[in-house]
Amino acid sequence: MQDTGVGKSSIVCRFVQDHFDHNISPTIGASFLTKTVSCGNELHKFLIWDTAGQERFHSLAPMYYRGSAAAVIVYDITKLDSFQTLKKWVKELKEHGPEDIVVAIAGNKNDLGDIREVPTKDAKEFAESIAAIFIETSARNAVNVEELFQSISRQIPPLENTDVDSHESFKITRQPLPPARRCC
Amino acid sequence: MQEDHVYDYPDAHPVGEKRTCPQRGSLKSISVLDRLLLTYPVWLQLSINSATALHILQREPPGTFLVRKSNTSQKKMLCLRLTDDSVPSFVKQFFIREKDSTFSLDSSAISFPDLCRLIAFYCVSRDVLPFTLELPEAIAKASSHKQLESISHMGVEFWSSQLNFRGPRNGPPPVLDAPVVPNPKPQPCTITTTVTTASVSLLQEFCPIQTRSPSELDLGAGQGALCFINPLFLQEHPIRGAMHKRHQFKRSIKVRVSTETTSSLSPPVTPPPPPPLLAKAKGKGKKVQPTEVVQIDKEDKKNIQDIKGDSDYLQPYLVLPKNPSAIITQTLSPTAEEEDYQLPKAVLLAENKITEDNEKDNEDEDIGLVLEKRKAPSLSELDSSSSLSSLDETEESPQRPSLTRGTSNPIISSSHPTHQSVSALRKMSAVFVSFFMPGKRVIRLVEDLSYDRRMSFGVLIQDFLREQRDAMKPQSLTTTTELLKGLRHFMDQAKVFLLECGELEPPIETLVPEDEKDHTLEKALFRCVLKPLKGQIDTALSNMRENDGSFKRLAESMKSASDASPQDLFGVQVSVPDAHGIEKIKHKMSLMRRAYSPIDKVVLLLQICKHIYKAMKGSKGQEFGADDFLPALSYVIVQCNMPELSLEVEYMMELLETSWLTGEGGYYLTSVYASLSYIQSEPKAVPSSGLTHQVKESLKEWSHRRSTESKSQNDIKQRFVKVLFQDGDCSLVKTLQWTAGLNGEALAQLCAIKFGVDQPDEYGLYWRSSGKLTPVPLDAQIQDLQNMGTSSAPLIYQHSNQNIKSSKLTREGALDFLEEAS
Repeated sequence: MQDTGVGKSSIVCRFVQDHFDHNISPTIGASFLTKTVSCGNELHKFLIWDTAGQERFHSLAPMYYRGSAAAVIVYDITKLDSFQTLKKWVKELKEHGPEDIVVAIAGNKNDLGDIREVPTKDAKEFAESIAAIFIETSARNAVNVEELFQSISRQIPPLENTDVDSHESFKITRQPLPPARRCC
Repeated sequence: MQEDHVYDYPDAHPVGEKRTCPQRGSLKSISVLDRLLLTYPVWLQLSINSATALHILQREPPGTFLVRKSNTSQKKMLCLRLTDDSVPSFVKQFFIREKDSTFSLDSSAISFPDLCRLIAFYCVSRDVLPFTLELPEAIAKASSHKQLESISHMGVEFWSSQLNFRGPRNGPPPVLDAPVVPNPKPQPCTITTTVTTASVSLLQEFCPIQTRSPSELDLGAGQGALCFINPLFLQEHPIRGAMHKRHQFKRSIKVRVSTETTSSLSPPVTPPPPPPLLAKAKGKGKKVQPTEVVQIDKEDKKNIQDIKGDSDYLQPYLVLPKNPSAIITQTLSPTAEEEDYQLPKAVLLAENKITEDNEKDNEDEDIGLVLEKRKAPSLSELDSSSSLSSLDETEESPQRPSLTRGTSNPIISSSHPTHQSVSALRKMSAVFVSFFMPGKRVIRLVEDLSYDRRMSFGVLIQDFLREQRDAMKPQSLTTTTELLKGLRHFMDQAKVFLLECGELEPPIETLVPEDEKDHTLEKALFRCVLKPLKGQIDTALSNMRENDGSFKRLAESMKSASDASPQDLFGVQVSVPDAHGIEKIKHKMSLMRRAYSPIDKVVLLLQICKHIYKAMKGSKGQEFGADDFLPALSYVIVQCNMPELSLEVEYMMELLETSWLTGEGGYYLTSVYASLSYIQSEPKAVPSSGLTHQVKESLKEWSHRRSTESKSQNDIKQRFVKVLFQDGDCSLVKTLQWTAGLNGEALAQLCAIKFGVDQPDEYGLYWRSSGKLTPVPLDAQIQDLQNMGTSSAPLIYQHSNQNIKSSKLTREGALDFLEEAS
């Protein structure tokens, strides 16, 4: 249960909704969202798969991250527990997840710095030890959310059509874009 | 270019008499659209590069065009030959935008349901172009389907062939026109005037969908209203014209004859040939029919109708001599013969039908039925010369009805009150709106093809279906996954096959935009393969599930879950659908079970999920992620208590293409799958950690599927060769499959079988190189021939002694006709 409430859904909603532009196609619910961002001369379409964070559903997560290109694991900087759980997720992902998956760690609720339980330094060191992207975000204030996905976008190896994800699962497929073509 | 002014004043007297009259006079009853459809292998050159396009167009007069595909952008483009002094180049390229199921030029606001209609429009109206498109002379002047067919068979070779004569555009017209153009009598032109007015009023009368005033169209053009919208293009639903087209068809023949009376055309020296249908019926009966009549599928019913059509035709034809204009009919040969040869079957069939319809008080249903038959052309017929009339029937040439109407009215007392057919048309139009969505048309074309055993695609599909029906008998079953995987694997191959064999005509590229191509093909394949097998698949799947006990286990799990308060079990913290909502969802699930297409099933699944979201939302308007959705979904699944859902999920997962599984449908499918495995793992209110055995099993299946998916594509490469069969008046093209090592001799034997030739010794295979027919050496390898650049033009299988005659027919056919006509 401790995984719920870290704000992963909020991050995704923030990411998708912040820019009401033509790149958003409507979806039926917030568990699955899509957004297209440009990266260099390519457009990347994020297909974001949300996974249930409750422990009882942990065992189902592999079905969601199968075939994903990147995974975003979110913890709550005000809850040390959520950071411990995150480590469990990383371990599982390394064991069962796709080989080339891009892992991003997001410390959410950056706006609540005064009740912080997880020091930025610890989280950053951990992320470096597993070669993951690390960023602290605030879904409420829209801080670093765009940056999070931009850095994932940059790490997706070019010209490969893969997808993966993680527990706070993000399935990301990319669409390499021939020059002079516009996505509508 | 100088003819542009014609379109400035659509209502005025035809300034373009010079252009229009000769066309009427020379019996151009084949519409531009038909000409385009019949000759697409000539102008549709998707695979050539820009250098080749320049090379081809260089020698052509301004207005000549090609459609090719850009290598870099993968977009189709219209390459238009400009005048020699144009800068920067004598060829200008216009990108073709494919969006929202329509085709349009990049800078234009006018869009079309398919590529042929787009091109046809720009043959008549320039819109954003510097001038209108011009068909190559040979195509524009061809007076019969057969001539067009010969041109079409040459493909890209046409451009360099002798057939492609390039007379000076405004100089003395080619031989065929010679007797007509100098005609001093005004009648034909008067008729033309009526045509124009009639079509305009018809246009207004029907008030077509995209009514745009010329001033609106002016937007892209600059000065003045440069567009004259022919009703052809306003006819979004080609069916609209079908009804009176049928009325008019026959009349058009009469009318044409009357027009000719006024011309100074002198009777040819050669005696009139025998009624062509005798030859045709004979040729057809002998060469094609015996093998096919045996079949009992619906194609044959069509064939039988065709035959009926032929014989029906004979009567009126033979009656004609009593008519004063009969002499004229004869003088027109062979042109008229060629024409009549093609047209009447459909006409008379239609006429018969109309009579029947009238007897039945024009009941909508009957009309629908009749037209459906007409609409769904057997593509197989494209192989025989008769096919083309069936093509006409599908690809309604909307220009024709208005033309014939206009032409006929002044001459024939209206024995068919026009308003009658109009009202019938209105009644029908609704029926065909949906039918004529381009995507649906492709699906229907593919489906028809799949039933036709004369086509290699039909054989492929029908053999597979037969084999599957045997394989699905209870004793020979393996596992559900194997069964579904086999189907998916076959459909992947069949899709590649269909694209490569070139039997789908017109090619799919002209019918649906690039981004919808694969989706449309998927749907078509589901229809060809899954629909006929639906019953067997369902039975087989549920038998297997019964036998391995998994069905029972799931049912028990569902029961125990619903006994133990499911809200707590799944940790549901949001509001869930009430009893009424559950009923609605159950209804959707039962609909899902009835659908054969995995795509339809997914759509229903998404609807179910939407229901759940709606119930969750309540009043707060809050967005819910998976933390809330998955428990709610599990709750709903248990409440619905339909263990069959697991079969549906498997059906979708195995039969949908991978690309579908990463999208929204894939996400919710995964969620249902996850939810079902969670229910099956017999959850306790106290959560256990780690993977349960069942979930591990499911996972294994899941990943197995994902990993094998990509490998299964294209592991069998199909190879095809097109062969044109010519035997007297009979000419048809077949696509034959071949394997490595097949030599010329073996292919000739194969042809003898495929074309039903009695004495194979007297026939031989030829190929055309730079306009000359060369025998295929017996030991030549087919791949070598194809490497030599003949792949675009078909090989030719014909009687050895006919060599000279036939080659003349194909290469110089038009000239021959011209000479004889003069």
